[in-house]
Amino acid sequence: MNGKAARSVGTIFFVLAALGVAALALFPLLWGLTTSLKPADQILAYPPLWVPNPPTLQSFREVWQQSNLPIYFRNSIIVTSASVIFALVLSVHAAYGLARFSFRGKAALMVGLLATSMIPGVAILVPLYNLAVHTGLYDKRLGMIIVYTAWNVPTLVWLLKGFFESIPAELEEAALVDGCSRLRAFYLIVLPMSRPGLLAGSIMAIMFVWNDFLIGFTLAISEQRRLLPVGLFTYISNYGVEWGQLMAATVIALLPIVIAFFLLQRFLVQGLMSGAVKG
Amino acid sequence: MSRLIISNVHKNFGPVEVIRGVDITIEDGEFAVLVGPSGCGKSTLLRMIAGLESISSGDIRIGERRVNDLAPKDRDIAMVFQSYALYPHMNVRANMAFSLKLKGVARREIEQRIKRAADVLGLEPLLARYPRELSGGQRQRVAMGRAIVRDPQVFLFDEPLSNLDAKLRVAMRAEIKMLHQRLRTTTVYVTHDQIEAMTMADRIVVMRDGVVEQMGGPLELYDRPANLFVASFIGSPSMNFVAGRVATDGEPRFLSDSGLSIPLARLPAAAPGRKLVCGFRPEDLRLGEGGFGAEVMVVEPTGPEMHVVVRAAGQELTCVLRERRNIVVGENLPLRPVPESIHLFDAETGGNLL
Amino acid sequence: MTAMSGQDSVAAPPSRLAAALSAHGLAVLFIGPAILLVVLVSIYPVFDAMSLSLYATKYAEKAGFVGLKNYIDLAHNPVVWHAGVNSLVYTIGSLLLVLPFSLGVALLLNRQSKMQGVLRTVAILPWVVSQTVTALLWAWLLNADFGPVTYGIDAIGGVRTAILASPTWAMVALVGINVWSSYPQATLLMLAALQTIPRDLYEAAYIDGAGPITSFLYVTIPLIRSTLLVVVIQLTLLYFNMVTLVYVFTGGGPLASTETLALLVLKISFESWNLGQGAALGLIVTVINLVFSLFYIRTLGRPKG
Ligand SMILES: Nc1ncnc2c1ncn2[C@@H]1O[C@H](COP(=O)(O)OP(=O)(O)OP(=O)(O)O)[C@@H](O)[C@H]1O
Ligand SMILES: [Mg+2]
Repeated sequence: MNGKAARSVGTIFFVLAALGVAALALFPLLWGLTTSLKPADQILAYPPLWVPNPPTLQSFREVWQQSNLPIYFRNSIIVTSASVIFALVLSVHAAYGLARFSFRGKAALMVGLLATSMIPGVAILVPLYNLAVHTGLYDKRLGMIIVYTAWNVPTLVWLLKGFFESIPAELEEAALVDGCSRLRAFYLIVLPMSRPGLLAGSIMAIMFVWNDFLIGFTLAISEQRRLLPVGLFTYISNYGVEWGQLMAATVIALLPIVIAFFLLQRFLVQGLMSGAVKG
Repeated sequence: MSRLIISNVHKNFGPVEVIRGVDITIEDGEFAVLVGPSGCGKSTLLRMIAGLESISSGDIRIGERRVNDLAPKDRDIAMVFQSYALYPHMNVRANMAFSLKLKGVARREIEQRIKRAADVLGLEPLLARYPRELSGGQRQRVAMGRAIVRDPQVFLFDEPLSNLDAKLRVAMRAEIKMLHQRLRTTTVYVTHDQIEAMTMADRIVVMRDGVVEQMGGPLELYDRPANLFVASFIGSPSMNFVAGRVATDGEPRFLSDSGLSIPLARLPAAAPGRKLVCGFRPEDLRLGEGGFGAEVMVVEPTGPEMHVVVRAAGQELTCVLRERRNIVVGENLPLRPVPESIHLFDAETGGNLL
Repeated sequence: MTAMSGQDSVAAPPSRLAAALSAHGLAVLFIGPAILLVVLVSIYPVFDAMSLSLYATKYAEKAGFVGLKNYIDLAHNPVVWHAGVNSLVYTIGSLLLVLPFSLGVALLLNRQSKMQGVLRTVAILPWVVSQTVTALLWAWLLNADFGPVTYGIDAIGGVRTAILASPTWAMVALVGINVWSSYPQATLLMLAALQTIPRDLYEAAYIDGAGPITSFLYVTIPLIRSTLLVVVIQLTLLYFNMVTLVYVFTGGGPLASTETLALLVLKISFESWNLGQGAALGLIVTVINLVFSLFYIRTLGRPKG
C-alpha cells in the first residue's frame, strides 16, 4: 500500500471510530430526551419509536406540577451552592497558607489531607449518620452542606495550592511595595489571578455535590429535605414507573449540570489534569 | 530629605550569613548602583531596604525614619522587579493606578499622575492594554511608570534590564538615567553588569560575599580600585595582572615571576620584600620601547580601537590600541605599560599599595 | 562610617517576634478551619466506625460491647464472600474493558482534526451524567418490554431477553454501563499524557523505521506509563467502592448476582439497620482499598529501566 492510500484508509477509520464513540456517548442521553418529549401512548411502543411525533411537553408539565420534583430541585440548588461556596472559601485560604507559609509538618499535612480524600464514602456513612442524629443535623440541609463542604476540601486544597504556587512571589512582593498588606495582596492579586483554578475547582465541586446520591440518601429522610438524585431514585418506587415523567425529571436534573459543563469545560479538563499530579 | 542610610546591617538565612555588616549612605537624589558577582547579596540587601526581607541586625533609615520594622507599604519606596511583576489581570492604567488607589488618592489626582508618567515614558497609547499584549521593552517602561506615579522617596531597581536584548538595554539605560536627572529621586539600582554600573551611577557600591569592597564614583573606582577584586571586576576588557616583586636594587621597577621587567613611576614604601601583583589596564599597555617584547596571538578590531591578545614570557595580556596600524598574528610587538597608571597590590591581602 | 541622625519613627514598631507570630497566626487562621472540618467529618468518623464495629447496635445506639463478633459474623457469612467475588468480577471486568477503550478514545482525541473540539466535548459527556441518572437511563434502554437495546437484540438475534432478570447478563450490563459512565475520566487523563509527548519523538521513530504500531508500543506506552498507573489506581478504587450505580441500576439483584461488598455495607447498615456490622464491613472495605493502592504502587510503580 502506498502512503497516500494508507492515509486515506486511516482517515476513514478515524471518522468511523469517532462517529462510533459519539453515538455511544450520545445515544442514551438522546433516548432519554426523546422519551421525555413523547406523548404517553408513544412511550410504551414496541418496536420503539425513535422520534416523538408530535413532540410534547406533557411529561415535563406533569412531573413539575404533580410531583415533589421542584422541592428536590430547590434543595439540590441550595445544598450545592452553599457547600461549594463554603468549600471554596475554606480551601482558598488553606491552600494559600500551605502554598506560602512554611512550617514543620506541612508535607505530612498535605499527605494526610490527600489520604482523607481516599477514605471510601460508604465506609463512614454510618458514623456520619450517627453524628448527624446526635447533633440534631439529621434531615437538615445544613447537615448535608457540612459533609459536602468537608468532602470537597481536600481536592480543592490540592488543586488550588498548585495554582497559588505557580504565581510568582514577585507579584505579591510588588503588591506589598505598592501598599498592600499580606492579606490584601492575597485578595487583590493572587485570587483574581487564580480564576482558572477557582473555576476548575468550582465545577468539579459542583458536579460532585449535584450528582452525589449517598449523603442525601443517608442524612435526610423527609420529602422536604430530599435532594434530586434521591428524588429520582425514589420516584420509581413511589409512582410506579412512569417512564415519560421519569425521563423528563432526568432531563431536568441534567440540565443545570450540562450547562455548567459546556460553560466551564475548559477549566474542568484543566482541573482534572492537575488532579492527576496527586494521583 | 530622603537620604538612605544603611548601618551595620547583617542578614542571616538560618545559619548562613549572607550580608555581613554593610554600611552605606546614599545622599538625597543620588543614583547608587550595587554591583558584584552573582550571589554576593545585592538582591538581598535591596529587598531588605524594600522591607521584603527582615533585617537580622543593624539599621536602615529612609529620610529621618528608621524603617526596620515598617511594612513595605509604609516605607514610601517603589520597586522595579527583574520580571517587572506587572499584574496580569489589570491593564496598564490599572497597574499604575493600583498603589495610588490603595493610598486613597483622589481619582482626579490619580488620572493626572498617570497622565504625567505616561507622558514621560511615552505610554499613552498603551494605557488600555494588558501586560501580555506588550513587548519586553514596553513592559519595562510600564514597570517604571508604576514606580514613578507614586513619587516615592526612594526608587529600588533589581536588574531591571536583564531581560532585554542588548540594543534595547543600552537605550533603556540612557532612558532611566535621563528620568533620574529629571526626577532627582534617590535611587538604588542593582546589577551584575559593571558597564551598566559605570554608565549610570553617581556612585557605585561594589559588593562581594556580603560585604562592601569599595564605594565611590565610577571613575574613582576605575582609576583607584581599592583592591584586586575591584580592579578585576570593574573595566572591560579587564585589567592585566602579573605576579612578582619589586626590584631589590632600589630602582622603581617591577620584576614578574615569569621574567618581565616593568618600569614604575615610583616605589611604594611598603612594597620591597613582599609578594605583589602588578596590574595595568589594557589601554595603558602601549606600543613602545623600554618594556618587554610580546608575541601577538589574537587581533580583534572593534572599529575605534583594536583589542590585541599577546603573550609575553608565557603570560597572556590584553591591550587596547588606538593606533591604526596593521598588526598580524605572530608578530613581535614592543610593549610598555604607562608607569603612572600601574597599580601594585599586596598578593596576600589584595590591598592597593599605590 | 555613617553618621546616625534623626529619631526612630514615632509609632512603636512591632517587635520582630510579634511580626513572626502574626505571620504564624495568619497561617493558623487560614489553614485551621479547613483542617478542623476535615478532621471532624472525615477522620473522626473513621475512629467512630472502629469503635462502633466492636459493639452490637440497636438503631443508632450502641447496645453492648461485643469485641470482634461483628467481624467474625461477617467472615462466616457466605453472603459476604459472595459479594466479595461479585466485587472482584465487577472491578476486574470493568478495568479490562475500560482501559483499552478509554485509551482508544484518547488516541482518537489526540489526532489533529477539525472535529476535535466537538468530538472531545461529546466523548466526555457521560462524565457529567450522575451515576443515578446513568443507571435510570440504561434501565430504560434495557427495559425488557420497550427498551431500544432489547429491540436491537431482538432484531438481530431474534430473541427478546429480559437482560436485568438474568443473573449473568445483569452483571454484564452493570459492567457495561459502568464503563460508559467512567471512561471519560480515564480518557482525559490519558489524553493529557499523550499531549505531553513531543512530536519530534514520533518523527525520530519514523525516521528510524518504526511504523504506527511499533511507535505506539515503544514510544507512546512507555511515556504514558505513570499516567496509566494513576488511572488504574483511581478506577480500581472507584469501582471497588461503587454503591450508587449498582444500587439504582439493579439494587444488587437479581438473586444478589450484582451485590458487591460496598453495596452490602449500605444494605447491612441502612436496610437491616445493623450499624455495628455495617461499620465493620465498611472498615474492611477501607483496608482493602489501602492494600490495592499499595499493591499497585509497588508492582506497577517501579521506575522503568
Ligand atoms: N530565601 C533564602 N534562603 C536562603 N538563602 C538565600 C535566600 N535568598 C538568598 N539566599 C542566598 O543569599 C545569597 C545572596 O543572594 P542574592 O539573591 O542577594 O544574590 P545576588 O547578589 O542578587 O545574586 P544575582 O546576581 O545572582 O541575583 C546567595 O548565596 C543566596 O543563595
Ligand atoms: Mg539578584
